[in-house]
Amino acid sequence: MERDAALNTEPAPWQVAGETFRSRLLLGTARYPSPAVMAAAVAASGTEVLTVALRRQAPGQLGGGAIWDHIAQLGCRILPNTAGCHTAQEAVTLAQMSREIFATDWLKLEVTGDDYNLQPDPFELLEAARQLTGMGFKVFAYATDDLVLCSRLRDLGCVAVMPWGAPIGTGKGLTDPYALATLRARLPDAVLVVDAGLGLPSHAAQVMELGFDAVLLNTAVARADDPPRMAAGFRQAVAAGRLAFEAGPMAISETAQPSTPVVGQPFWQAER
Amino acid sequence: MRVAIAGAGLFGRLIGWRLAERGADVTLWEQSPRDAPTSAAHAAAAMLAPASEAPDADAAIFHMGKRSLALWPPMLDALGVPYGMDGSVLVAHGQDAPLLDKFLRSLGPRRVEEARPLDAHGIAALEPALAGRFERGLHLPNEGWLDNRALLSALATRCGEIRYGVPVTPANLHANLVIDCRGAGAGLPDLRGVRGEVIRLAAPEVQLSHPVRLMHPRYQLYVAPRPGRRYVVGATQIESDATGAVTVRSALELLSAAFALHPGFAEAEVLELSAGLRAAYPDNLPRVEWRDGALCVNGLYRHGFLVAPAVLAEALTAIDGREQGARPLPRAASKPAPRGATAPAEA
Repeated sequence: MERDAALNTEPAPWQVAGETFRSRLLLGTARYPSPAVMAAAVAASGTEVLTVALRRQAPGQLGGGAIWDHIAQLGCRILPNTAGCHTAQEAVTLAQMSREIFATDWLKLEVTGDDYNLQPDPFELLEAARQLTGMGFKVFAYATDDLVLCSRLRDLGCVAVMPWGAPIGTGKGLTDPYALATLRARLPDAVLVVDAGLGLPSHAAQVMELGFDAVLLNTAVARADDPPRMAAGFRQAVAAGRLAFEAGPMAISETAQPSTPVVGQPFWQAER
Repeated sequence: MRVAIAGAGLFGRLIGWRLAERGADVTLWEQSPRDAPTSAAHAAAAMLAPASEAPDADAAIFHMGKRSLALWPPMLDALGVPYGMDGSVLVAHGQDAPLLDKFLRSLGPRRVEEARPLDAHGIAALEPALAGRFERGLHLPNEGWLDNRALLSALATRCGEIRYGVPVTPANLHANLVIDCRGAGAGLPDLRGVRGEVIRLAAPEVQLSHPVRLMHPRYQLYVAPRPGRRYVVGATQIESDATGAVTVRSALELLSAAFALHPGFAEAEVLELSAGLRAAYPDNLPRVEWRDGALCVNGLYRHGFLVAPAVLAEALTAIDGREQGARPLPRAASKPAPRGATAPAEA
C-alpha cells in the first residue's frame, strides 16, 4: 500500500525526440549572477535539459568554450538555441555550428521578429524549421501561441512546439490561457512546451494543469533574488501542476452550492 | 628584494607601485606591446559602484567595494588622477520602471543608506542635462568613477620597470617574490574570460557630471564621465573569451543607450571602440592565493576598479605574512574556494 502511494506521487515521465525524461522543467543558462549560482539553481531545479545560447559568443572562434564546458559538466542534455537570429538563414548557419560544437542534432529554434519583446518572426521561423527538419535536426520551435503557426510547425516535423506564455523576460505569466488551452486541445499528440514569459511557480503550475508536456524558463529563476530557491519552487510547481492534470480535476461548479444538505435546513428552504 | 610581476594591468601596476615604494626592485612583464594594450583595465569604464552592482554580485563584492571607496581618494590624489565621488544616477524609461523597484528590493535594508528615489525634478536637479527625459530614477550617493587610463599612466612611471611585448609564465620568472596577475591570459583552471565592450565618445553638447546607468530589461548600460566632456559608454557582458573587435550589434546597443539618455550624443565623436576580457572564477569573486610559490591574484571580473584597493590590501597582507614567516606558506587550494572565501573579515 505504502509503496504504491509513494509511486503515485511522481508525475509520469515524458518523451521528446525519442528520449525519456522525468523532469518536466527545462532551464535556460543566461543571466545568472555567476556560473556557480547557475550550477546551484540547476541542481535545485532537478532539470535534465539546459538551453544554451551561442549567437553572440563568436562561436566560429569557440569564444564561449569556458562557459559551455561549465554547462556541460552539469550533466544535463544540452539544447543549443538560436537566440539572437533574425532570419532563417542566420538560424540555419548557427544551427550547423551548434551541431558541431555540442555534438547534438537537438536545436531550440528561435528567430526574432521584434527586438524589444523578442517576439518570434513566424514567417522566418517556418522557413528555418522547414530547412532544419530536412537536414535532420530535432527542432524545438519557439513560437507565439498562434494555432495555425503551431500546427504548421508540428506538420513540418518539429519534435516539440513551444508557444510563449508571454513575451520573453516579462514574467507576466499566461497572457492568453484560452489560446494555450486551444493549442493543447487541437494538437493533442504534439509535444507542447510553454517557453517564456513565466515569472512565478504558480504560472508554471497553471501551464502544467492545462496538460502541456513541459515548461521552459530562464529569467524567472536567473533574475530572482535567490535563484536556487526559486528553481526549487518551480520544480515543485511543475510537478504539482502535472500531477493535477494526471489526476483529473473536479468539475467546476458555476454557483456556490453546499456540497451536502445543510443539517437542520429543509431542502425547500435551501432552494429559495 | 627583487619582485617579478607577470601582467601589467591594473593589479600588477598597483601592487608594483606599493612594493616599489617600500624599496623593492620591481619588474613587470606584459604580453601586449606598449602601444596596443589589451588589458581589461585599459578598456574599462572604471565605475566605482558597489550599490549598482550589488543585486548581481556576491555580498563580498559590496563590502570590498565600500572599503575600496574609502581607500581610493588618497591614492588617486597622490597620483594626480581625475575622479569623482559624488554618487551616480540610475534612470529608467516608463516601461522599465518595475526594474527600479526590483533593484531597490534587491538592495534590501542597504537601500536606506545607498539609494535615494528621484522624481523628474530630482533628476533635473542632479543632472540638468537629463531634465524632462525621465520620470523616475535613483541617486546612489556612495558611488563614483575614476579615470582609468590616467591611473594606468600614472602608475606606469611608479610601479617599476615594465617590459612590454613579453609573454611570461610565473615559472619562468626568478625573483624573491613572483606575483601572477595576468588576468584572463593566465589560463588557470576554472578561470574564464567574460568579454566586455565599451565605446569612448567626445560629446561637447552633453554635460553629465555623474555616471548614469540606464535600466534595461536585458542589458547593463551606463555612461561614465571623463574630463573634457568625454564619456565611456559600457558595457556589454558576453560569456566568451573571443578577443575580436566590437561587433555591430554591441555598438548598436551601446550607442542606442547613449542616444536614449541624451540626444546630444547623436553628434558626439566616436573616439574608440574597444573590447576586453575580464577574468572570472565560477563564483565571480576575486582570489588571492599562493600557487606554486607565486602569489596569484585573479578573477576580479567586472569589478576590478571597484575592489582593487581591498584586494591590494589582502595581497600585501599575504606577502607580509610570508616575509615574516608568521604562518606556514599557504598553498593554492586544490578545489575552488567556498563562496565568499575572499571576503574581508567585516563582511
